[in-house]
Amino acid sequence: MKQENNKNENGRQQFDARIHRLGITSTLVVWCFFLLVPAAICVIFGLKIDLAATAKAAAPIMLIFAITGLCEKLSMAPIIGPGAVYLASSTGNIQNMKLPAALNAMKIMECEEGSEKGRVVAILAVAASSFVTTAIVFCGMLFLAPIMAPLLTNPVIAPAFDNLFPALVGPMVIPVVLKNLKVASLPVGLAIVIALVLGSTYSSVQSIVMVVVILISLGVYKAAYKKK
Amino acid sequence: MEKMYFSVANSPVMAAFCGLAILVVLVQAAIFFRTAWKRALELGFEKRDLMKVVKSSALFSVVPSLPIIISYMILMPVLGKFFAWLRLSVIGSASYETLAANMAVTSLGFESLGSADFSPDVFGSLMWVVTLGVFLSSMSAMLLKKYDKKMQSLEKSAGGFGNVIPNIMFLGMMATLSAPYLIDVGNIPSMAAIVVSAASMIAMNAVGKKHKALNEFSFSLSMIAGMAAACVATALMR
Repeated sequence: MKQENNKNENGRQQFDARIHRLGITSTLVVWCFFLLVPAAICVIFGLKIDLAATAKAAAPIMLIFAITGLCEKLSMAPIIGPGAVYLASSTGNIQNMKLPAALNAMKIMECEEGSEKGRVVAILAVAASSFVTTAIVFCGMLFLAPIMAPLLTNPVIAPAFDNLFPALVGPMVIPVVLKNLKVASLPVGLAIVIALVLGSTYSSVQSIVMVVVILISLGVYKAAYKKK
Repeated sequence: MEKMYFSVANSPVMAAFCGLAILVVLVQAAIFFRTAWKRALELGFEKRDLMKVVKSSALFSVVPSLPIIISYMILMPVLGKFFAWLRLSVIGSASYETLAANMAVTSLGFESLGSADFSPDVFGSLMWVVTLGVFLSSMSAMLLKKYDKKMQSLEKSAGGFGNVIPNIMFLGMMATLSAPYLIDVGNIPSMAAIVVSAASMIAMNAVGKKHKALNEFSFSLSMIAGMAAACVATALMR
Protein backbone atom coordinates (compact mmCIF):
# COMPACT_ATOMS: atom_id res chain seq x y z
CA MET A 1 0.00 0.00 0.00
CA LYS A 2 2.79 2.38 1.05
CA GLN A 3 4.74 1.40 -2.06
CA GLU A 4 1.70 2.11 -4.22
CA ASN A 5 1.29 5.56 -2.63
CA ASN A 6 4.97 6.34 -3.19
CA LYS A 7 4.64 5.29 -6.83
CA ASN A 8 1.61 7.55 -7.28
CA GLU A 9 3.35 10.47 -5.58
CA ASN A 10 6.45 9.99 -7.77
CA GLY A 11 4.25 9.82 -10.87
CA ARG A 12 2.50 13.01 -9.85
CA GLN A 13 5.75 14.85 -9.21
CA GLN A 14 7.18 13.71 -12.54
CA PHE A 15 4.04 14.80 -14.36
CA ASP A 16 4.00 18.19 -12.62
CA ALA A 17 7.68 18.76 -13.45
CA ARG A 18 7.07 17.80 -17.07
CA ILE A 19 4.04 20.09 -17.37
CA HIS A 20 5.94 23.07 -15.93
CA ARG A 21 8.93 22.42 -18.21
CA LEU A 22 6.62 22.08 -21.18
CA GLY A 23 4.54 25.12 -20.16
CA ILE A 24 7.50 27.46 -19.72
CA THR A 25 9.36 26.29 -22.85
CA SER A 26 6.33 26.26 -25.11
CA THR A 27 5.13 29.68 -23.90
CA LEU A 28 8.54 31.15 -24.77
CA VAL A 29 8.58 29.44 -28.19
CA VAL A 30 5.02 30.53 -28.97
CA TRP A 31 5.91 34.11 -28.05
CA CYS A 32 8.93 34.08 -30.37
CA PHE A 33 6.50 33.33 -33.21
CA PHE A 34 3.99 35.96 -32.05
CA LEU A 35 6.71 38.60 -31.99
CA LEU A 36 8.05 37.35 -35.31
CA VAL A 37 4.86 38.50 -37.09
CA PRO A 38 5.26 42.29 -36.58
CA ALA A 39 9.07 42.02 -36.69
CA ALA A 40 9.17 40.17 -40.01
CA ILE A 41 6.48 42.35 -41.61
CA CYS A 42 8.33 45.53 -40.60
CA VAL A 43 11.61 44.22 -42.04
CA ILE A 44 10.18 42.72 -45.25
CA PHE A 45 8.06 45.77 -46.12
CA GLY A 46 10.64 48.28 -44.81
CA LEU A 47 8.15 49.86 -42.38
CA LYS A 48 9.51 52.68 -40.22
CA ILE A 49 8.25 52.39 -36.66
CA ASP A 50 8.15 55.38 -34.33
CA LEU A 51 9.55 53.52 -31.34
CA ALA A 52 8.72 56.21 -28.77
CA ALA A 53 5.08 56.53 -29.90
CA THR A 54 4.70 52.73 -30.07
CA ALA A 55 6.16 52.24 -26.58
CA LYS A 56 3.98 55.06 -25.22
CA ALA A 57 0.86 53.46 -26.71
CA ALA A 58 1.78 49.91 -25.64
CA ALA A 59 2.80 50.64 -22.02
CA PRO A 60 -0.64 51.33 -20.46
CA ILE A 61 -2.27 48.40 -22.32
CA MET A 62 0.58 46.14 -21.19
CA LEU A 63 0.22 47.23 -17.57
CA ILE A 64 -3.56 46.82 -17.44
CA PHE A 65 -3.48 43.36 -18.99
CA ALA A 66 -0.42 42.26 -16.98
CA ILE A 67 -2.26 42.77 -13.69
CA THR A 68 -5.45 41.20 -15.04
CA GLY A 69 -3.57 38.25 -16.56
CA LEU A 70 -1.54 37.58 -13.43
CA CYS A 71 -4.59 37.64 -11.14
CA GLU A 72 -6.51 35.40 -13.55
CA LYS A 73 -3.72 32.82 -13.62
CA LEU A 74 -3.14 32.82 -9.87
CA SER A 75 -6.87 32.32 -9.24
CA MET A 76 -7.33 29.59 -11.84
CA ALA A 77 -4.17 27.50 -11.39
CA PRO A 78 -5.07 25.84 -8.06
CA ILE A 79 -8.49 24.88 -9.48
CA ILE A 80 -7.93 23.64 -13.03
CA GLY A 81 -4.17 23.11 -12.66
CA PRO A 82 -1.16 24.92 -14.13
CA GLY A 83 -1.08 22.77 -17.30
CA ALA A 84 -4.49 23.98 -18.43
CA VAL A 85 -3.53 27.56 -17.49
CA TYR A 86 -0.29 27.49 -19.53
CA LEU A 87 -2.25 26.28 -22.53
CA ALA A 88 -5.16 28.66 -22.02
CA SER A 89 -2.69 31.53 -21.74
CA SER A 90 -1.45 30.85 -25.30
CA THR A 91 -4.76 29.87 -26.82
CA GLY A 92 -6.82 32.72 -25.32
CA ASN A 93 -10.57 33.09 -24.66
CA ILE A 94 -10.00 31.97 -21.10
CA GLN A 95 -13.04 33.03 -19.11
CA ASN A 96 -15.67 32.57 -21.79
CA MET A 97 -14.45 29.23 -23.10
CA LYS A 98 -11.38 27.50 -21.64
CA LEU A 99 -12.40 27.80 -17.99
CA PRO A 100 -16.00 26.54 -18.52
CA ALA A 101 -14.70 23.75 -20.78
CA ALA A 102 -12.20 22.65 -18.11
CA LEU A 103 -14.78 22.82 -15.30
CA ASN A 104 -17.32 20.93 -17.38
CA ALA A 105 -14.80 18.17 -18.10
CA MET A 106 -13.89 17.91 -14.42
CA LYS A 107 -17.57 17.62 -13.55
CA ILE A 108 -18.21 14.90 -16.14
CA MET A 109 -15.28 12.87 -14.78
CA GLU A 110 -16.30 13.66 -11.18
CA CYS A 111 -12.90 15.16 -10.35
CA GLU A 112 -12.43 17.55 -7.45
CA GLU A 113 -11.00 21.03 -7.97
CA GLY A 114 -7.22 20.95 -7.76
CA SER A 115 -6.97 17.14 -7.75
CA GLU A 116 -4.42 15.49 -10.02
CA LYS A 117 -7.12 13.80 -12.07
CA GLY A 118 -8.88 17.15 -12.41
CA ARG A 119 -5.71 18.83 -13.63
CA VAL A 120 -5.14 16.17 -16.28
CA VAL A 121 -8.72 16.22 -17.53
CA ALA A 122 -8.66 20.06 -17.67
CA ILE A 123 -5.67 19.99 -20.04
CA LEU A 124 -7.56 17.64 -22.39
CA ALA A 125 -10.59 19.92 -22.31
CA VAL A 126 -8.62 23.12 -22.98
CA ALA A 127 -6.70 21.49 -25.84
CA ALA A 128 -9.89 20.11 -27.44
CA SER A 129 -11.58 23.48 -27.06
CA SER A 130 -8.60 25.24 -28.68
CA PHE A 131 -8.71 22.96 -31.73
CA VAL A 132 -12.40 23.71 -32.25
CA THR A 133 -12.05 27.49 -31.87
CA THR A 134 -9.09 27.61 -34.22
CA ALA A 135 -10.99 25.59 -36.83
CA ILE A 136 -14.08 27.81 -36.55
CA VAL A 137 -12.12 31.07 -36.77
CA PHE A 138 -10.16 29.64 -39.71
CA CYS A 139 -13.43 28.89 -41.50
CA GLY A 140 -14.60 32.38 -40.50
CA MET A 141 -11.55 33.90 -42.14
CA LEU A 142 -11.88 31.79 -45.28
CA PHE A 143 -15.60 32.01 -46.03
CA LEU A 144 -17.84 31.75 -42.95
CA ALA A 145 -17.65 35.33 -41.62
CA PRO A 146 -19.68 37.07 -44.38
CA ILE A 147 -22.28 34.27 -44.21
CA MET A 148 -22.53 34.04 -40.42
CA ALA A 149 -22.26 37.70 -39.43
CA PRO A 150 -25.73 38.74 -40.71
CA LEU A 151 -27.21 35.67 -39.03
CA LEU A 152 -25.51 36.29 -35.69
CA THR A 153 -26.45 39.97 -35.69
CA ASN A 154 -30.07 39.29 -36.68
CA PRO A 155 -32.29 41.07 -34.08
CA VAL A 156 -34.08 37.80 -33.20
CA ILE A 157 -30.88 35.77 -32.71
CA ALA A 158 -28.50 38.48 -31.44
CA PRO A 159 -29.81 38.42 -27.80
CA ALA A 160 -28.62 34.79 -27.57
CA PHE A 161 -25.01 35.81 -28.22
CA ASP A 162 -25.30 39.06 -26.24
CA ASN A 163 -26.22 36.91 -23.25
CA LEU A 164 -23.72 34.13 -23.77
CA PHE A 165 -21.91 34.75 -20.50
CA PRO A 166 -25.08 34.86 -18.34
CA ALA A 167 -26.06 31.58 -20.04
CA LEU A 168 -22.69 30.19 -18.90
CA VAL A 169 -23.08 31.58 -15.37
CA GLY A 170 -26.31 29.57 -14.89
CA PRO A 171 -24.91 26.06 -15.34
CA MET A 172 -21.36 26.87 -14.20
CA VAL A 173 -22.08 28.78 -10.99
CA ILE A 174 -25.62 28.41 -9.64
CA PRO A 175 -25.69 24.60 -9.03
CA VAL A 176 -22.26 24.82 -7.31
CA VAL A 177 -23.37 27.72 -5.12
CA LEU A 178 -26.62 26.00 -4.17
CA LYS A 179 -24.74 22.80 -3.31
CA ASN A 180 -22.22 24.67 -1.11
CA LEU A 181 -24.53 27.38 0.15
CA LYS A 182 -22.88 27.76 3.55
CA VAL A 183 -19.33 28.17 2.24
CA ALA A 184 -20.40 30.07 -0.88
CA SER A 185 -22.39 32.73 0.96
CA LEU A 186 -19.31 34.76 1.95
CA PRO A 187 -17.57 34.98 -1.46
CA VAL A 188 -20.86 35.48 -3.31
CA GLY A 189 -22.01 38.17 -0.86
CA LEU A 190 -18.64 39.89 -0.99
CA ALA A 191 -18.48 39.87 -4.79
CA ILE A 192 -22.03 41.21 -5.03
CA VAL A 193 -21.26 44.08 -2.62
CA ILE A 194 -18.08 44.97 -4.55
CA ALA A 195 -19.99 44.80 -7.85
CA LEU A 196 -22.66 47.14 -6.46
CA VAL A 197 -20.03 49.60 -5.19
CA LEU A 198 -17.87 49.58 -8.32
CA GLY A 199 -20.72 49.63 -10.86
CA SER A 200 -19.53 49.74 -14.47
CA THR A 201 -15.83 49.79 -13.50
CA TYR A 202 -16.17 46.26 -12.07
CA SER A 203 -15.45 44.52 -15.37
CA SER A 204 -12.14 46.33 -15.85
CA VAL A 205 -10.85 45.27 -12.42
CA GLN A 206 -12.62 41.91 -12.22
CA SER A 207 -9.44 39.84 -11.96
CA ILE A 208 -8.17 41.98 -9.09
CA VAL A 209 -11.54 41.68 -7.35
CA MET A 210 -11.25 37.90 -7.81
CA VAL A 211 -7.98 37.81 -5.88
CA VAL A 212 -9.39 40.08 -3.15
CA VAL A 213 -12.55 37.95 -2.75
CA ILE A 214 -10.52 34.72 -2.66
CA LEU A 215 -8.00 36.06 -0.11
CA ILE A 216 -10.68 37.46 2.21
CA SER A 217 -12.71 34.23 1.98
CA LEU A 218 -9.63 32.11 2.70
CA GLY A 219 -8.71 34.34 5.64
CA VAL A 220 -12.18 34.24 7.18
CA TYR A 221 -12.62 30.49 6.73
CA LYS A 222 -9.14 29.80 8.08
CA ALA A 223 -9.94 31.81 11.22
CA ALA A 224 -13.26 29.96 11.58
CA TYR A 225 -11.50 26.61 11.07
CA LYS A 226 -8.93 27.39 13.79
CA LYS A 227 -11.72 28.30 16.21
CA LYS A 228 -13.34 24.91 15.65
CA MET B 1 -12.21 52.07 -50.78
CA GLU B 2 -9.08 49.97 -50.22
CA LYS B 3 -7.11 51.37 -47.29
CA MET B 4 -3.52 52.24 -48.06
CA TYR B 5 -1.97 49.76 -45.61
CA PHE B 6 -4.00 46.79 -46.91
CA SER B 7 -1.25 45.94 -49.40
CA VAL B 8 0.78 44.99 -46.30
CA ALA B 9 -2.04 43.75 -44.04
CA ASN B 10 -3.61 41.42 -46.63
CA SER B 11 -0.40 40.27 -48.27
CA PRO B 12 0.51 36.58 -48.69
CA VAL B 13 3.59 37.22 -46.50
CA MET B 14 1.32 38.32 -43.66
CA ALA B 15 -0.86 35.22 -44.19
CA ALA B 16 2.21 32.99 -44.00
CA PHE B 17 3.58 34.46 -40.75
CA CYS B 18 0.17 34.55 -39.04
CA GLY B 19 -0.54 30.98 -40.17
CA LEU B 20 2.83 29.86 -38.83
CA ALA B 21 2.19 31.40 -35.40
CA ILE B 22 -1.22 29.69 -35.20
CA LEU B 23 0.33 26.39 -36.24
CA VAL B 24 2.90 26.64 -33.45
CA VAL B 25 0.12 27.14 -30.88
CA LEU B 26 -1.73 24.11 -32.27
CA VAL B 27 1.45 22.05 -31.92
CA GLN B 28 1.74 23.26 -28.32
CA ALA B 29 -1.87 22.18 -27.68
CA ALA B 30 -1.21 18.79 -29.30
CA ILE B 31 1.87 18.18 -27.11
CA PHE B 32 -0.06 19.10 -23.95
CA PHE B 33 -2.92 16.89 -25.07
CA ARG B 34 -0.64 13.88 -25.63
CA THR B 35 1.12 14.36 -22.28
CA ALA B 36 -2.18 14.64 -20.40
CA TRP B 37 -3.71 11.68 -22.26
CA LYS B 38 -0.79 9.42 -21.26
CA ARG B 39 -0.97 10.51 -17.63
CA ALA B 40 -4.75 10.06 -17.60
CA LEU B 41 -4.35 6.43 -18.69
CA GLU B 42 -1.71 5.92 -15.97
CA LEU B 43 -4.17 7.32 -13.43
CA GLY B 44 -6.71 4.69 -14.41
CA PHE B 45 -9.00 6.58 -16.78
CA GLU B 46 -10.43 4.52 -19.62
CA LYS B 47 -9.99 5.70 -23.21
CA ARG B 48 -13.76 5.74 -23.53
CA ASP B 49 -14.04 8.22 -20.64
CA LEU B 50 -11.34 10.46 -22.08
CA MET B 51 -13.14 10.51 -25.42
CA LYS B 52 -16.23 11.71 -23.55
CA VAL B 53 -14.18 14.65 -22.22
CA VAL B 54 -12.89 15.48 -25.69
CA LYS B 55 -16.32 15.20 -27.31
CA SER B 56 -18.05 17.26 -24.64
CA SER B 57 -15.38 20.00 -24.64
CA ALA B 58 -15.36 20.20 -28.42
CA LEU B 59 -19.13 20.36 -28.63
CA PHE B 60 -19.36 22.96 -25.88
CA SER B 61 -16.77 25.18 -27.61
CA VAL B 62 -18.73 25.52 -30.85
CA VAL B 63 -21.34 28.00 -29.59
CA PRO B 64 -18.98 30.40 -27.70
CA SER B 65 -16.72 30.39 -30.79
CA LEU B 66 -19.43 31.87 -32.99
CA PRO B 67 -19.37 35.42 -31.51
CA ILE B 68 -15.65 35.48 -32.34
CA ILE B 69 -16.74 35.64 -35.97
CA ILE B 70 -18.58 38.90 -35.20
CA SER B 71 -15.41 40.28 -33.58
CA TYR B 72 -13.52 39.17 -36.67
CA MET B 73 -15.88 41.20 -38.84
CA ILE B 74 -15.22 44.24 -36.59
CA LEU B 75 -11.45 43.85 -36.53
CA MET B 76 -10.87 42.75 -40.13
CA PRO B 77 -11.39 46.25 -41.63
CA VAL B 78 -8.83 47.61 -39.16
CA LEU B 79 -6.21 44.89 -38.69
CA GLY B 80 -6.63 43.24 -42.08
CA LYS B 81 -7.72 39.69 -42.86
CA PHE B 82 -4.78 37.79 -41.44
CA PHE B 83 -3.64 39.68 -38.35
CA ALA B 84 -7.26 39.70 -37.08
CA TRP B 85 -7.37 35.95 -37.77
CA LEU B 86 -4.22 35.42 -35.70
CA ARG B 87 -5.33 37.55 -32.77
CA LEU B 88 -8.78 35.95 -32.52
CA SER B 89 -7.71 32.34 -33.16
CA VAL B 90 -5.16 32.24 -30.36
CA ILE B 91 -3.83 34.26 -27.43
CA GLY B 92 -6.51 36.96 -27.09
CA SER B 93 -10.22 36.94 -26.64
CA ALA B 94 -12.96 38.61 -28.62
CA SER B 95 -13.38 41.28 -25.93
CA TYR B 96 -9.65 41.85 -25.32
CA GLU B 97 -8.71 42.21 -28.96
CA THR B 98 -11.40 44.78 -29.74
CA LEU B 99 -10.55 46.75 -26.60
CA ALA B 100 -6.77 46.59 -27.17
CA ALA B 101 -7.07 47.52 -30.86
CA ASN B 102 -9.31 50.47 -29.95
CA MET B 103 -6.89 51.65 -27.24
CA ALA B 104 -3.96 51.24 -29.64
CA VAL B 105 -5.65 53.16 -32.46
CA THR B 106 -6.68 56.07 -30.19
CA SER B 107 -3.28 56.28 -28.49
CA LEU B 108 -1.66 56.44 -31.93
CA GLY B 109 -3.69 59.58 -32.56
CA PHE B 110 -6.76 58.30 -34.45
CA GLU B 111 -10.36 58.86 -33.44
CA SER B 112 -11.70 55.29 -33.35
CA LEU B 113 -11.37 51.83 -34.88
CA GLY B 114 -13.89 52.53 -37.63
CA SER B 115 -12.41 55.82 -38.77
CA ALA B 116 -8.85 54.62 -38.96
CA ASP B 117 -6.92 54.73 -42.22
CA PHE B 118 -3.22 54.61 -41.53
CA SER B 119 -0.01 54.62 -43.45
CA PRO B 120 1.69 51.19 -43.58
CA ASP B 121 4.20 52.52 -41.00
CA VAL B 122 1.42 53.27 -38.50
CA PHE B 123 -0.07 49.82 -39.19
CA GLY B 124 3.33 48.39 -38.23
CA SER B 125 3.16 50.31 -34.92
CA LEU B 126 -0.40 49.09 -34.37
CA MET B 127 0.69 45.46 -34.78
CA TRP B 128 3.43 45.99 -32.19
CA VAL B 129 1.09 47.71 -29.72
CA VAL B 130 -1.57 44.99 -29.94
CA THR B 131 1.05 42.23 -29.69
CA LEU B 132 3.02 43.76 -26.81
CA GLY B 133 -0.20 44.72 -24.99
CA VAL B 134 -0.73 41.14 -23.88
CA PHE B 135 2.95 40.19 -23.61
CA LEU B 136 3.39 40.67 -19.85
CA SER B 137 0.03 39.02 -19.18
CA SER B 138 1.24 35.87 -20.96
CA MET B 139 4.66 36.04 -19.37
CA SER B 140 3.05 35.99 -15.93
CA ALA B 141 2.58 32.25 -16.63
CA MET B 142 6.31 31.95 -15.89
CA LEU B 143 5.46 32.37 -12.20
CA LEU B 144 3.18 29.33 -12.17
CA LYS B 145 5.90 26.79 -11.32
CA LYS B 146 6.89 28.51 -8.06
CA TYR B 147 3.29 29.39 -7.28
CA ASP B 148 2.10 25.81 -7.79
CA LYS B 149 4.78 24.42 -5.45
CA LYS B 150 3.92 27.05 -2.85
CA MET B 151 0.19 26.26 -3.09
CA GLN B 152 0.79 22.52 -2.84
CA SER B 153 2.98 22.88 0.26
CA LEU B 154 0.43 25.30 1.74
CA GLU B 155 -2.38 22.79 1.20
CA LYS B 156 -0.29 20.08 2.89
CA SER B 157 0.86 22.23 5.82
CA ALA B 158 -2.59 23.69 6.53
CA GLY B 159 -3.86 20.28 7.71
CA GLY B 160 -7.61 19.73 7.23
CA PHE B 161 -8.09 23.30 6.07
CA GLY B 162 -5.63 22.63 3.24
CA ASN B 163 -8.11 20.24 1.64
CA VAL B 164 -10.76 22.94 1.31
CA ILE B 165 -8.47 25.68 -0.07
CA PRO B 166 -9.12 24.82 -3.77
CA ASN B 167 -12.84 24.59 -3.02
CA ILE B 168 -12.92 28.06 -1.40
CA MET B 169 -10.82 29.50 -4.24
CA PHE B 170 -13.21 27.95 -6.75
CA LEU B 171 -16.24 29.47 -5.07
CA GLY B 172 -14.47 32.85 -4.89
CA MET B 173 -13.76 32.70 -8.59
CA MET B 174 -17.31 31.69 -9.49
CA ALA B 175 -18.71 34.43 -7.24
CA THR B 176 -16.56 37.10 -8.89
CA LEU B 177 -17.42 35.99 -12.42
CA SER B 178 -21.14 35.89 -11.76
CA ALA B 179 -21.63 38.94 -9.48
CA PRO B 180 -22.16 41.60 -12.19
CA TYR B 181 -24.84 39.43 -13.83
CA LEU B 182 -26.53 38.49 -10.55
CA ILE B 183 -27.05 42.17 -9.62
CA ASP B 184 -28.23 43.15 -13.10
CA VAL B 185 -31.85 42.36 -12.18
CA GLY B 186 -33.27 44.98 -14.55
CA ASN B 187 -31.75 43.20 -17.52
CA ILE B 188 -34.56 40.73 -18.19
CA PRO B 189 -32.93 38.77 -21.07
CA SER B 190 -29.77 38.31 -18.99
CA MET B 191 -31.73 37.15 -15.92
CA ALA B 192 -33.82 34.82 -18.10
CA ALA B 193 -30.59 33.32 -19.46
CA ILE B 194 -29.22 32.74 -15.95
CA VAL B 195 -32.43 31.31 -14.48
CA VAL B 196 -33.29 29.02 -17.41
CA SER B 197 -29.74 27.74 -17.93
CA ALA B 198 -29.31 27.09 -14.18
CA ALA B 199 -32.68 25.35 -13.93
CA SER B 200 -31.86 23.23 -17.00
CA MET B 201 -28.52 22.23 -15.50
CA ILE B 202 -30.06 21.29 -12.15
CA ALA B 203 -32.77 19.27 -13.92
CA MET B 204 -30.26 17.55 -16.19
CA ASN B 205 -27.99 16.77 -13.24
CA ALA B 206 -30.92 15.02 -11.61
CA VAL B 207 -31.86 13.09 -14.76
CA GLY B 208 -28.16 12.41 -15.45
CA LYS B 209 -27.91 10.31 -12.29
CA LYS B 210 -30.03 7.67 -14.05
CA HIS B 211 -29.06 8.41 -17.65
CA LYS B 212 -25.30 8.91 -17.50
CA ALA B 213 -24.99 9.69 -21.22
CA LEU B 214 -26.78 13.00 -20.64
CA ASN B 215 -23.97 14.28 -18.38
CA GLU B 216 -21.67 14.79 -21.38
CA PHE B 217 -24.06 17.25 -22.97
CA SER B 218 -25.83 18.82 -19.98
CA PHE B 219 -23.55 21.87 -19.85
CA SER B 220 -23.85 22.67 -23.56
CA LEU B 221 -27.60 22.05 -23.61
CA SER B 222 -28.14 24.23 -20.53
CA MET B 223 -26.13 27.04 -22.10
CA ILE B 224 -28.18 26.82 -25.30
CA ALA B 225 -31.42 26.76 -23.27
CA GLY B 226 -30.28 29.95 -21.49
CA MET B 227 -29.41 31.65 -24.77
CA ALA B 228 -32.80 30.69 -26.21
CA ALA B 229 -34.50 32.10 -23.10
CA ALA B 230 -32.71 35.43 -23.69
CA CYS B 231 -34.12 35.51 -27.24
CA VAL B 232 -37.64 34.72 -26.03
CA ALA B 233 -37.45 37.34 -23.26
CA THR B 234 -36.25 39.98 -25.73
CA ALA B 235 -39.03 39.11 -28.19
CA LEU B 236 -41.69 39.28 -25.45
CA MET B 237 -40.46 42.71 -24.35
CA ARG B 238 -40.82 44.19 -27.84
